[in-house]
Amino acid sequence: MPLTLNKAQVLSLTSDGRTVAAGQKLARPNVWRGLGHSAVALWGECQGSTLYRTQIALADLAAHCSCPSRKSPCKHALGLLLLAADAPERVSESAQPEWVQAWLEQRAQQATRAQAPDKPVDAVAQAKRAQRRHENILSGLDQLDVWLSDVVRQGLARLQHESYDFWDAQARRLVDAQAPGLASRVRGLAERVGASDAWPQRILDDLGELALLSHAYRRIDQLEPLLAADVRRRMGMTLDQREVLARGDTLEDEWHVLCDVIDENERVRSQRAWLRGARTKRSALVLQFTPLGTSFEAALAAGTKLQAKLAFWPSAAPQRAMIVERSAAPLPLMAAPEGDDIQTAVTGYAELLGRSPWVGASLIVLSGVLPLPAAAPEPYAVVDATGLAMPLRGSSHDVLLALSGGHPLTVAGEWDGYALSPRTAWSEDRLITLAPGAADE
Amino acid sequence: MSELLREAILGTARTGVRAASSADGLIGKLAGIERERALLLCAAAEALARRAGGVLPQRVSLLPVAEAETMRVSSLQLTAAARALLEQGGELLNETLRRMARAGVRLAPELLPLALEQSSPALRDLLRPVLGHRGAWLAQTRAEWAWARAAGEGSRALPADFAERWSEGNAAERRRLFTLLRELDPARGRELAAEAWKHERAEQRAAFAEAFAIGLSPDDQAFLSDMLADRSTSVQRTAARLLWRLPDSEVAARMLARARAHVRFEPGPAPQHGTWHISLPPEPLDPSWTRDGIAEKPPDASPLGKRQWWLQQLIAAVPCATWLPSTKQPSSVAAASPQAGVAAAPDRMPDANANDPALVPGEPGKSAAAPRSAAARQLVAAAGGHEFAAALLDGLTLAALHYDEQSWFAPLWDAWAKSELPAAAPPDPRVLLSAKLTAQEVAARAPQLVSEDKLRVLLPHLPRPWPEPLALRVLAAIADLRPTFRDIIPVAALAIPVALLPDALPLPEIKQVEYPLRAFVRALADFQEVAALRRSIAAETTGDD
Repeated sequence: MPLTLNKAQVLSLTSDGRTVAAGQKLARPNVWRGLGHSAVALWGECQGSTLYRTQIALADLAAHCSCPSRKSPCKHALGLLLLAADAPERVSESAQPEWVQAWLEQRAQQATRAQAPDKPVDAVAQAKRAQRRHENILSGLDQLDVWLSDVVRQGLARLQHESYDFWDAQARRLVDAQAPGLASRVRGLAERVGASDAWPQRILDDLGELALLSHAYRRIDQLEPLLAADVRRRMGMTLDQREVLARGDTLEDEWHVLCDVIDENERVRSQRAWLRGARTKRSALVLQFTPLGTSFEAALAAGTKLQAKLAFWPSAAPQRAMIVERSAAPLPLMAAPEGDDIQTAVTGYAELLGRSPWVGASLIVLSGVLPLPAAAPEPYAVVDATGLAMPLRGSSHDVLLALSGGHPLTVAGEWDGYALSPRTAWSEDRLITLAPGAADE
Repeated sequence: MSELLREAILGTARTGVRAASSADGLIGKLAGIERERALLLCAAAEALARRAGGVLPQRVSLLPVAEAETMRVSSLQLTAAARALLEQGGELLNETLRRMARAGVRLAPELLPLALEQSSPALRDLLRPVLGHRGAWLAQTRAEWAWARAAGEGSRALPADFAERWSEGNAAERRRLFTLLRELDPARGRELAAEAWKHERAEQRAAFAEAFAIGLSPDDQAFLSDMLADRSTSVQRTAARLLWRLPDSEVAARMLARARAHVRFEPGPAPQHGTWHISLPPEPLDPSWTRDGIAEKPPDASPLGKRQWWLQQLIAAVPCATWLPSTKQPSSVAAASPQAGVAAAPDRMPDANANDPALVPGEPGKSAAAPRSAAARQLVAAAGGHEFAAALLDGLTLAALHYDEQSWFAPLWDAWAKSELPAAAPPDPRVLLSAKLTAQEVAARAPQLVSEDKLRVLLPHLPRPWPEPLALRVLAAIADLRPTFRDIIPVAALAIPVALLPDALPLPEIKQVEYPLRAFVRALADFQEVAALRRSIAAETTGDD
């Protein structure tokens, strides 16, 4: 028996309806050749317009296929899994072909490389680089402060007449000052001017946040270490995986994947997945990036759960995490997650905000909420049993309304203090992924 | 608006007094801080406070709970297929919706917004039965979804923003709206046209006049008669030609008289013989003919000379049944049955005997069909051999299509199939007639359709699904990898009845196939996918639950 999951559980590995439909068509033995499995892997060759090679690592259900699809799992991988679940007698135990062997070895090497100690670091050179960067940033902040003061002196109303270059030039100066995180926040400001009726307030908020960051960075040595880590992160100073493992906290739990959003641009695919620990109730954001045309390292799909150890980026309000170890293949979540009413969710977020002003958006799960019908100029919103309404962002409002029909829903998404970006909804116990709306944050 | 925000919008250079902020206590502790910086830091603090509690009391009232559903919902797989089809449109979507309706399966709720966004009236008709109570409930929330509301407004309802789009739209938009209006509510179309007539340009009036062909009925007669006096000649002509199809109009009566003056069919002694007696209309063209809509000059592509072109128009203006021998006075035949003059709706399925003017009221359809069909066949056969065959066949074809004379379609189709004649003007009459054949008629002609090149190009235009004899022959040809069938493969995927779709077509591996056949094999792979999709949809919507 190659696979521990049954057909329903395999289907829950992806929330992409099109992959489901296509994968089911490929779950027929007559399109596969060379099917086989070993203790650690499952493989086959699928006849499409050419012969595709598909392989799956049984420990974590990571899939690799030679097809050009951008999805993870692709329809071939899903088809292979469904076939193995449905008709295991077709997939006999056999010796791993050389191409499966090669892939497994490559994965093992990547894993050990991530954990093995690097060649000895030249501590002195590193310290010198860090000092130079620090000074660079400080002088960049001097200039940023002057720019900010100018904006406020002349008034926000003038911003509507500024060309894109006004913002772009400042952003580039910040990139030169080695503070790319600030640069992207400045570019984000350019998009917001005139974008909605309430833009002046939002721009003022954002400018204030920049001023606060600048203020904080100048006093970074006086800050508590975890808060200092947040400031550095906002500046755009990244940590590599080794440093995260060394400095961040790890947490073992049964993690429920409640949201996942996949985004693609010309070069890279990225995934934002929100997990919540069943025991600890902690939320975790796993970000993955992979070049276009390849699958993600970890197969995370909303509606599944996995036993795993996560390592968090050091922060006063830890959110971002990476998967360090997983002990078994993911299993499906059979029921909607437990959620909160709006006040509880907002209070929970306020608590995070109190620990770190730069926490960004965080996961909230609301249960017993109803989407309100559209009634311009009121914003779209969901309302809970107590009568509080939370504004919604994005374009899923009508789908939420259709799913609800007047009955309460459970909704999971990202709340940033301004609006909720809904990502996943449960109607009774059925999970529906919501299309991502306009990006924000 | 907070004081702080006001100061920021105007700019500190312009405002005298510093605005107070709830964060003053905090920021005040910072020594020697300049005014702008203090303002920004206060703004940051205020923003954080606001984000920590950014919820509103509810101000919009909830809708009552939707009625519980009675139909079962589509499976995960069918939902995925339906989503993809709704995004692409096309025939497979229509087939799927029909099947779902018959099987009592409704669309999954997350697809409802996508379904309600559809604007084509035909598609809306197919969607309504599968929206369920949730769909009708959701339709209340937006004005443009009114068509799906349970209150029986029907898909005939206009989009809610119609009036606005009509008054603010440009010429092209108004033409589109007018066409839509003629489909949904012809009476209202006449009203709007009447208003618009006073100030629209000639070009636009002509476009509106042409749109009257949609949903044409005797109610339009008065308006069209008024149009005969329009300033623009092209409007006049269009109106006249539309009036040909309304037998109570004077124009139609005059056309009938002219037709009878130049054309007559004399049945021969045996059932197969007969002769058409035709005199070509004389030159020069009488101005009264031009006023009544006869075009003087044949189109550039037409092989007909001027006089034959006029003849063709005469024949096209009156029902084919006009030429059938009958014991009554000829002039009253066409006028007697009110169904005779109404133009067929554009996408009607051939409804065997409904509008055939030769049907004597009260007679059961089937028993009258055979002799009528035989009579039509006799006339058409005689036409094929006539000196003016081109004009005759073309005119008869147009007439049969306009007046929806079912018993003429197959004989005319056969005549065109045998003849080498080119059509007098586009569109190709063979294509138009193919769409009108009944399933039995298609089945009887299956061998020729598959073996003759000239006829194979008509396969895409036949009604779907194809009858079994045709479907099986096409399948055999495809399975044989006959190269001439490559372009038929996508059509076959949609037109072959689901029950006949093979489970698997033996597909050679593409690398082993010679280069010219590779495209064929690729097309076959697509055929398999469409076939599998149709089969799985059919399996789920069998209707026995």
